[in-house]
Amino acid sequence: MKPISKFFLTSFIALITFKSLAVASEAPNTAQLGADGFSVEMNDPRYTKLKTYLVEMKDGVLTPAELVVPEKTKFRLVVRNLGNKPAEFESNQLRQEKVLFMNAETTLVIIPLDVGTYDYFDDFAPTTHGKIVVKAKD
Amino acid sequence: MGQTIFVVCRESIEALLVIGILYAWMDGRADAATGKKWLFAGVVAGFGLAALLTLTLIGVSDLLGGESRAWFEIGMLTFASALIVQMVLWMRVHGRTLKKELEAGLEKSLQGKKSWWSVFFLAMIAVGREGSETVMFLYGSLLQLGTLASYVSFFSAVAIGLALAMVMFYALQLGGKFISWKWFFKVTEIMLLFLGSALFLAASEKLLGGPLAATDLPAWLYSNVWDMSSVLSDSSILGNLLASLFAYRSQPIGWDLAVLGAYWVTVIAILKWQMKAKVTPTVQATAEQA
Repeated sequence: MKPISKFFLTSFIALITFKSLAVASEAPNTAQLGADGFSVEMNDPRYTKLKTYLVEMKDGVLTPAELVVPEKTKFRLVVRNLGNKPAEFESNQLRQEKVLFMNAETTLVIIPLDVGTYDYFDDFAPTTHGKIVVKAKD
Repeated sequence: MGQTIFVVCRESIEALLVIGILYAWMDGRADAATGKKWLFAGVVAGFGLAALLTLTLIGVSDLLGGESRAWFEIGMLTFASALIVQMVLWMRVHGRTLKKELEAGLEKSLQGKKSWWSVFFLAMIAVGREGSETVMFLYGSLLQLGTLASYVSFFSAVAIGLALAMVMFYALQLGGKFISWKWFFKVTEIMLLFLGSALFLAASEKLLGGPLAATDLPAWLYSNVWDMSSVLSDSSILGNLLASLFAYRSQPIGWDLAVLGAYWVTVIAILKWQMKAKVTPTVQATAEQA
């Protein structure tokens, strides 16, 4: 590889790393559970109508590995790919499938769900399986 | 490397299955050679479609927007499902007469061309849909490569993945050779109709999760009617395969059943109507021949 393209590639990767670090430092994190036992919602001024949760994918690693949401409530998932390779957010049970290029972000609206456990994973690296746990509201 | 083999093999198998069913369906027919050319052309066009779709996924997707992309996918899936039904109907009429026409030395009817267009579009959509994800994955992985060794390993992984998928494709074709043709025709016909239902259901689910997401539909459409995920989960390999070929759902919601019900009622009604309508022209044709 020519030095100049090496330079661009390195700066590109550096930029991605920097950007993902910036993203990672954003609070609050959906990975945590709130006092009510449900996952903490994402605070994003773009999405105010629906409950919104953040899912991050990084080369097969899913954050959070377990998302707890209330039953029979429509919600939005913001999915980000922070990995070095493309990722595919997939859930067989939720019938969702969305490909994400490196550093891409997408949103999905999930229809109201019944109580139960639903799978989700990175279809390009299906090593770890995440879970969406739907609980009854008290 | 293992990941690349896995992705290439799995994604191409899904497309190859559709092509395999089309191929097997044509194989027993008298004019199969023409049909196979159309099928091949469809596969080539599918690669073009995959490349175009990939462009919208990686860069242009912001321009195209999520909404119009969703509509495009819904349209493509619905179109493919309608094509399948139309093809099966056409085959039922011409399956018998075509052989007679050819035996009598008659030229192929013009309607034959129309059916080949369906084969072309179906192959194109099958390859384009599965292919775009693979192309994007490969392109993204390609960007990460640096050394010559990593390039070699990458391209051999792609080749192995493709080869594995081809082996399975031939296994499927061989399987078809051991079965009597009459039976195989019936089976592929039913499989095609089921594939049509799976595509139609996928389109409707994209509609429900995309353009209809903002609308609040009656609650029964969203709730699970039954749950047999403990028997055969959608996540298992078999369950997943059944889902994409036969519209299997382990936890169907009211919407799924309503959509599938509508599909099958329509298809059966058209088949019934066709059987009734067919009686008259056949009688006329025999009268003319006499």
